[in-house]
Amino acid sequence: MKYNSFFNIGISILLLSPLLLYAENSADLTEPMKQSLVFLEISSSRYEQYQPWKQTAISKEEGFGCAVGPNEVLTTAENVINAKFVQARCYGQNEYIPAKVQVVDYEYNLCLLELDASAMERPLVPLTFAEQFPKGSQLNVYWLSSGGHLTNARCTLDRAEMQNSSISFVSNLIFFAANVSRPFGDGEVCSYGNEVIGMACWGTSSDSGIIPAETINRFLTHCKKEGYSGFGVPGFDIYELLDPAMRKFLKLPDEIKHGVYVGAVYTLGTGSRELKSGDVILAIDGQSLNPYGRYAHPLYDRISFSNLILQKPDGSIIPFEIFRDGQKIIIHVTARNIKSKEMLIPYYLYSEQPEYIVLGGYVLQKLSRDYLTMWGSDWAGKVPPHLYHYYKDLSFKPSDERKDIVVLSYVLPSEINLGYQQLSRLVVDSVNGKKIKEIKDILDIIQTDNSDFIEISFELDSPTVIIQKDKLNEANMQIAQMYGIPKLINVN
Amino acid sequence: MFISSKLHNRTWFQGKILGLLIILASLCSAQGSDTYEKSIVMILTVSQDYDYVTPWKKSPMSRSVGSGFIIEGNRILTNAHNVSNQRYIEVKKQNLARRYPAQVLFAGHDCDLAILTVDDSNFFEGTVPLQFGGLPTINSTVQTYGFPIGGQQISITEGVVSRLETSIYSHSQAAQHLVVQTDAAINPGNSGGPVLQEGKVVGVAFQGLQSADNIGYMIPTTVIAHFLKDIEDGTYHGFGMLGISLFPGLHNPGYKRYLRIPDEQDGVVVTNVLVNSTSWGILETGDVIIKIDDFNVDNDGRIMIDGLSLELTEIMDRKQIGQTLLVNGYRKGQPFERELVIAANKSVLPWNRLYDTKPDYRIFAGLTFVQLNRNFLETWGRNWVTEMPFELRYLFMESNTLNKSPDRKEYIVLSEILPDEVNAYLAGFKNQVVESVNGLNINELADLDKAFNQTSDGFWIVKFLNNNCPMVINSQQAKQREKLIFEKYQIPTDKEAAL
Repeated sequence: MKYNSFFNIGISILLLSPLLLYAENSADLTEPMKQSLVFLEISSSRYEQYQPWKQTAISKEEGFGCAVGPNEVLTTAENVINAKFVQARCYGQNEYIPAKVQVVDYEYNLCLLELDASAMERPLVPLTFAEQFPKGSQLNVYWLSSGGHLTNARCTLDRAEMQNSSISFVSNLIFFAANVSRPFGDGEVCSYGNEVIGMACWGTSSDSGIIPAETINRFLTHCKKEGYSGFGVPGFDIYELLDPAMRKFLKLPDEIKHGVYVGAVYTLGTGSRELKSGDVILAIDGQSLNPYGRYAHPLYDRISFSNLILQKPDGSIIPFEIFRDGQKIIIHVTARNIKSKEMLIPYYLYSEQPEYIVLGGYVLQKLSRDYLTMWGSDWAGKVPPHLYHYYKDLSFKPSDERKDIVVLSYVLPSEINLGYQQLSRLVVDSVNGKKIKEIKDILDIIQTDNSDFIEISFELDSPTVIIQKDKLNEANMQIAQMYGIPKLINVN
Repeated sequence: MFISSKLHNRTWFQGKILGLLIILASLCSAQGSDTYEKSIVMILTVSQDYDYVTPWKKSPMSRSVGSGFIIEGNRILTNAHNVSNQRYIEVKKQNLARRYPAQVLFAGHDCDLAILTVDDSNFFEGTVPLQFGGLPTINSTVQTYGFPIGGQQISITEGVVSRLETSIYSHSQAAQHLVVQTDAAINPGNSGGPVLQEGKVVGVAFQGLQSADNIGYMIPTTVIAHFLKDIEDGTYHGFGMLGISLFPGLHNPGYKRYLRIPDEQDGVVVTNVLVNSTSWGILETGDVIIKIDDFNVDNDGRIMIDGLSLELTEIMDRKQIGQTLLVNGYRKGQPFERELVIAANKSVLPWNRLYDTKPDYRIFAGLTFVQLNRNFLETWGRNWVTEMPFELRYLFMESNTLNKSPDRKEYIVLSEILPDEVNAYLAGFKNQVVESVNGLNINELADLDKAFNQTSDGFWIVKFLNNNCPMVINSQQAKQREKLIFEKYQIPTDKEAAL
């Protein structure tokens, strides 16, 4: 027996030695993290798109965050989508601490929360984020679980890439982690050695995405300034410029081997006022773009040009080297953020109530991406193409003539709308002969126009809807009561 | 709900048919069901469709079995879908082993009817041409004859007529005509067989409802009469379309007042007029149609005809292309009367499935251009409507209103790129719709010939709908590579194609 024990111990030492060596490189930060990590409970509810006067049932979600000030907590924006109430728990304290959203940036997918200091037993210890990219290394991941335990996972840092955001219209720089030891992706902090290098923003059973420290630091710096205005978003789309025939057609000299073609230029975003369709972008902020639109990053290898724009605070100036009309020129482009609500078809509304008018049972709504997603997971193929056209082709191109797309969603049947009750999903063109630029125009027209009818015309081959004004008020009251609509109009 | 506008044409000659049938009635009644059986034939077809993406190729062949019956003039009436895209047809009579090769004389794909004949006149010996009856009444008994799956012998099923209404003819996927619904079992193989009542044909069995029990449909004699009259001049012209969209909105008194229509007046509102149709310039959006020929139109857009409430297009279906309809209505509160010429009034993007039509194509620099039509779009497979690229879906659904150009005959799409060094970087343009080539607008396939015959500074510049980036091709290189591309991909040259 004695002999056996010795033998076992011998084996154990042999097995442990590489782990012990490894542990020196990847410090265990469990103890210090107890001062800095919080658990978040988010109660959320959104508005129904089909009945925009109604909120959905409350749901409770879990999320994680870390201190960036004594009572300031960083988490992902995704965690606070549609949040009605947020509360936090700190290590060793049983009571919940109410939290308020200070700044949320859906494009960066980051959120700064302020905890009620008076409800905290002691201040948190802020973390700092180190801008490192230890490709191929093992990272440690920490979070404070719902049960109040400091919990830990491991993963391997695989690569950095621009990834389409799942909550916004941009692509973000993301560190991809592989070999995750257990799933994470809701605001857990990721460390390498003694340094915190990012925050997890999505995860599966095998992979996770991490928001890198450079993005977090930019966000936090910007939060300290007066009035958070966000960062640049590209206001144009590009085409690869590989074809020698196309390059020759554009009269690009043979010695220029790089650059991308500018296709559509939007009315929103960076470059919207400075670029023209047909320009060739050779370089942005001194970084030469290859014919795929990527530049050589010192750490991340070749990544998309959009990262150069996303780094710049709204309002800053970015030099673009372009080829236009047979000449190489430098133009100074203002970095412009895009606000979802400025878009012709807002990409997201989140906590905001959709704008609508219920008029004689006709449910008129401002078209948004959220509305289109009612068609289910493969909505792109199922949405009526005329509505999808506005989303796909014109979302980023609002104009003074067209700021909103207003649709007749459906009709709440009542005597006043007899004969029209099957109408749905029609785009409003004009009311009483006046073009509708935005949803509030409808209210203005109804209030100022003295005719006996309200005449709503639609695009394509749809009939004109006629509402007799003398019967409208009574019908509105009936409909509100009959269908349980607390508020017939919500227009900002 | 919108009534999609389509319609057909031709002079109503039921009176003539009825006269004929009364004379024959006694003769028919003397015949037993075994006499009818001699006139019913099995049709064995080998068919093969074209490949609508690369139209010089054909799809694999397939075989099918259907039914048909002998009518006057040594002719066989059957469904067009039994013989569409046929390469070889045999017909066979009950209890006889011999098979006779047959030819298609006429095929009406919009009404799913076809006329065949057999060159060997022995075939018709001992057969009696079946005669036609009128529209059967609801709840009357009918018998279907044919060769459905499940056996080799003729099968007879009996049922009652349950409905008469306007419905889609699934063979074309677009045309709507009158159908008779029956609960007599109609199964695959029954197609093209006669439905008899008191010894007379009251319909041709042609389709069923998969999701229901015993709902079968037959083509009524009104539609058959149109077809037979249409082909009398040796050509099938088809049914007409009105070329307008209608909305049944006059149920609303406010709408009526707004359109200044008398309170007691029924009618249906015109909401779109198809560019280049025979209604274009005659009717306008906002017109109200109250009467078509002698038939009053109700607020649902229906007319009472033969004691049935049917879509107003029924009256057009009973006339031929080239004939006219008298339309009465209101425009801006004033009554009007207009004559409409019945015509095919096709959309620039055909909704109907094409058969027996060799698709045309052009190839430049290995880029294959074809007409944008349903057959091409259906190559996206079972869920083609949701799977196809958005731009194509948008045009498919809305081309009748999106196209404002009278010059446009069709939309042309880049259907395939035959890979070669001249087009190595052009893959992103596949399935896009051509707007112009070298500055010339492309309104039909033939426009490409002229457009590609010129160059802009040594380039071919192709612009696509809704795409800010032009496609640029080195025209000299393209011409040099053309022969090689044709050889490599076995594209028949003009001479070979003529053979």
